[in-house]
Amino acid sequence: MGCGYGVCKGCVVPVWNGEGGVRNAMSCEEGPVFDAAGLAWDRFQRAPANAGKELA
Amino acid sequence: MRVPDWFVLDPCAPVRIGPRDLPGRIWTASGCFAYGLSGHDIGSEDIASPYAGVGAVVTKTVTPQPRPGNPMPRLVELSCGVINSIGLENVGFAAFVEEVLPALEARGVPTVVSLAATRPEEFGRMCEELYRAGRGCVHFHGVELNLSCPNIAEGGHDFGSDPDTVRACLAAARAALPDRALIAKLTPNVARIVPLAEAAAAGGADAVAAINTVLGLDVDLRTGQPVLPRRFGGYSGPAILPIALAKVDEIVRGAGVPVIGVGGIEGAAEALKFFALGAVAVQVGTAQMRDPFAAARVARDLRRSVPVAG
Repeated sequence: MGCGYGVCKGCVVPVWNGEGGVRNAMSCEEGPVFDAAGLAWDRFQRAPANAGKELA
Repeated sequence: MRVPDWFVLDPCAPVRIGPRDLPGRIWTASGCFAYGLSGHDIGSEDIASPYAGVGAVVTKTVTPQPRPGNPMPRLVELSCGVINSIGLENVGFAAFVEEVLPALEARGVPTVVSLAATRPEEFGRMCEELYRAGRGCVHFHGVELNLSCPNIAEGGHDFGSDPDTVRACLAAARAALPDRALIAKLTPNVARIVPLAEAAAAGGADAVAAINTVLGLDVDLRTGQPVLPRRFGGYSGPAILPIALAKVDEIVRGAGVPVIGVGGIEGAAEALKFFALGAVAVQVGTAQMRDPFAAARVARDLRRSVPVAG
C-alpha cells in the first residue's frame, strides 16, 4: 500500500458496482477486508480495456 | 533545521506565475495528493492541516475521458523511492469540471489543474472549458500540462520529448486560457531537457515544472518477471533528488523560463536546494504518501526564517 489515506490510487481492487460493471475500490478507504462476493475476481492482474490505446 | 542566511524568501507570500499571484511557493505535486479534497479533516499535534501554508495543490492529472487506470500492482516500494504505474486513473474532464472544481473553490484550495492529452487540440479544448467554468473561481490559479507521464503505453511515441509537440501543446493551452498560470511539467527521460523548456516557453508557458518521474523497472525474483504488469513505471522519491537538481540547474542556466523544482523533496533541506539553484517554487510529491503534512511542514520550517513584522 502506498499512502494509506486515499490520495495515490496505488491500492485499488476491482469490485462490482451494482450495475453490472466494475469500479476500483481503494483498499485503504474501503478495505483492507472485502466481501469476497463483491470482488470482481476475473479482473485481477488484467490490463484494462483501454490498455495500449490512446488516452482519449 | 536552521534556515541558512542566504534564504530570504517568505515561502507563504504571494508568488507571481505569469498572470497570477499564487499564495505561496511550497506546492504539492500532481498525483500525490489526489484532487486536493482529501485530508481536510485530519490534524496533527504540531500542524493544523495538511493544507496549512501550501501555496498550491497540483491535482491528480485529468484526461479528456475517465480512465480506470492500470492493473495491480501499481506501486513498487524500494529503499529510496517508489516506482508507480497508476495509469492516470481519474474521473475524466467533464466530472472534474462539474464536481471537483466547484468543491475545490468552496474549500478554498489554491488549485493548479494537471491535464494530460494525446493531441494539442485536446489541451486547447480542455483549457477553453476551464476558462469558462473557472471564470468565477478565485482559487483556480492555473494549469500544469502533464507532458511526460512515462507510465502510459503510447505505442512507443514519447509525447513529451519532442520540442515541436511540446510547443504546440503549450500554444493551444495558452490561446484558450490567457488569464491563468500555464506550466509545463517536463520529463527527465531525455538527453537534453533545455530544448524542451525553451519549446514550452516559446509556446507560452509561464513556468516549467521539473522533473516528472524517472523511468524505472523492478524484477520479482520469484518469477523472474517485472513486478509491474506494464514492466516500466515512474520512479520518484528521495533517490531522484540529485537528478531533479541537475535538470533544474540546466534549465535555470540554459533557458529563459521560471522553474518549479520537483523531485525527492522530503523536508525543508531538499526544498532549499531547489531555491538555491533559482527555482521560483517547489512541489512535494512522494513524501505526501508517507506524511500528509509533508508540504505543510516544509512551508512551516522555511517560514521560521521570516522576520516578524514590526
